[in-house]
Amino acid sequence: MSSRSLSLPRISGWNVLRNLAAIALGAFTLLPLLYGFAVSIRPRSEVFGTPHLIPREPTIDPYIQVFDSIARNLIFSLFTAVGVSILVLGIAIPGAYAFARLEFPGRKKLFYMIVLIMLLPIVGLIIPILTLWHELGLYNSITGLWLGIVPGQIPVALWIFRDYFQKLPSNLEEAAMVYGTTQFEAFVRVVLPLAAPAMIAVGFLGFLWGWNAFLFPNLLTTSGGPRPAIVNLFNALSADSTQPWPFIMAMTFTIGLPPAVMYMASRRYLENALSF
Amino acid sequence: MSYESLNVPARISRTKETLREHRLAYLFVLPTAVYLVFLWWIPFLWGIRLSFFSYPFFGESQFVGLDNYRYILNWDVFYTSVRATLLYALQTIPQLILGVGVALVVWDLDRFDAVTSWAALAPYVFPPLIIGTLWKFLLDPNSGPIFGYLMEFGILQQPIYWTSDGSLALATITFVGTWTFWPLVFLLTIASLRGIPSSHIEVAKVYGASRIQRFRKIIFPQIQTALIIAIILRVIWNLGKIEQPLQITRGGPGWDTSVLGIVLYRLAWNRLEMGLSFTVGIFLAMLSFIIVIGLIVLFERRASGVSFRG
Repeated sequence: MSSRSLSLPRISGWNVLRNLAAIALGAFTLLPLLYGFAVSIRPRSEVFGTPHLIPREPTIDPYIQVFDSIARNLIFSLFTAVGVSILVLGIAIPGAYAFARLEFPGRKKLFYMIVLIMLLPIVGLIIPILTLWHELGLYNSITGLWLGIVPGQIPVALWIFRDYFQKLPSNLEEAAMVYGTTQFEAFVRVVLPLAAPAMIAVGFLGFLWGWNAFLFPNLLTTSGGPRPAIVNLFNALSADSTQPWPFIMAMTFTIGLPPAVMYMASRRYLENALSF
Repeated sequence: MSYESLNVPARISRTKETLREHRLAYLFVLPTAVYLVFLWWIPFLWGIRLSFFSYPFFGESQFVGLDNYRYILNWDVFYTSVRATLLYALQTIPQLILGVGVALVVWDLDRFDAVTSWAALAPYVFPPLIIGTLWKFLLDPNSGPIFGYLMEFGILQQPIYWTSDGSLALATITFVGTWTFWPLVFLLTIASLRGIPSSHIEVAKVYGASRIQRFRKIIFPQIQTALIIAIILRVIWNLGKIEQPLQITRGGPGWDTSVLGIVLYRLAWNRLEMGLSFTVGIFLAMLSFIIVIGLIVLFERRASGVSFRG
């Protein structure tokens, strides 16, 4: 790549084609999102009639209505997401470290069990957890939500961290221990700081998993309980709902934008963490 | 020394010794082990037990033996659903083509590199239910823009009411699923493409390797593992989807777009039949397991150097 910056950019058929493909891609993914957003800032009278992208009378009323109706639920979404993120990190970091860099009997077996879990669809677990939580009194509680959402996400997090820890130089801890640290201190002071990019990536993913989770919150909470906002969006499209499209689109983007922004902010870390 | 020759106290002291010797390691895996036992195996085994019971959510449970299994296997809807699940999961193929194709086009683009990555990831960064809602509007026969534009340009005389046609509704949720989830393949592919040292490509160019040769000898071996991981993850996740198709069609018309996950959901949510619902979950797990093990065996045989072992 460096050699190219010295000469003028080459104009070849392949390069033109590639740039055109990139533009087509942008239209394919961004136009639907853009149109949806454009509808979220229209009065409801502007939804019918001939389709047009740019709103004629832009208004933020739909967003005001959305905040009026689901502000409480958005806060529960935030609690759920942060809790899930912390739990995922707390379980996956030490576990992955042990799998990647410590020797102990049973290591392989335990890791096989984690891989086995990845091969099963998590939806199956929803029903038993739902009934168990109901019997244990975790129904309709935020703790119940955390503990219900986390199981499906641990294997991926473990996998990312294990992969990351394995790539670190093999004598890292030994070198630290030569300077008088214990193995645990070596982990905290040397390995953990080096794992910061992976921690950011998985922390973001955990937040997204918590924020996006729909099934557990829907089955596990009542409308008076700690119900995350995404359930409101689901109910807004139910057969007996008469919500106008601008309101629904405003709700869609209110709930959708926080994870989208976070995802974009962590894109670099994610790409690093996901390179196998 | 064989384990058989040890008596019980000796075995316990030996276990203690192992624990002491690897204290740090066991301390570190403790949260994972607790998670595995309490958030996976106990619920899972509880679920297996559940499948032998009639278990209404707010009522008395009752042992019914194999009735749940018998009911599912004699239920027409179950077979409609298995078919819908498999057809829906076929979206893995266009996801793969799109994800790998776009990654190959974009990864060494001189300009717009960040912009195109951004655009490619856009569908994936929103919650799936959000994207489902968006497309439900875009494809709304009465006020959505897609049929609006098609009619304005004179391509269609009237909108297609796809929500009341089983095959069209299934095609629609499959399309939206493809649109939403292909960026994962893109993300995994481009991450491993970025791992190729640019010097390798430069050297290959100097030696006159054609574009196709460069792909076969340098690029493909590098992204092989990522591709296999992408395929397996996508197959598992496509088979177990619930929320997005549920938001778009609610499993209808009738049960036509109820993939197994949605059947499970509808049995639990509308009928509060937890035992029956988890029985569907067991069938879904078996289906998913069989397909994925098949894929792994296939890959192990074909691709040397790719290993799924620890």
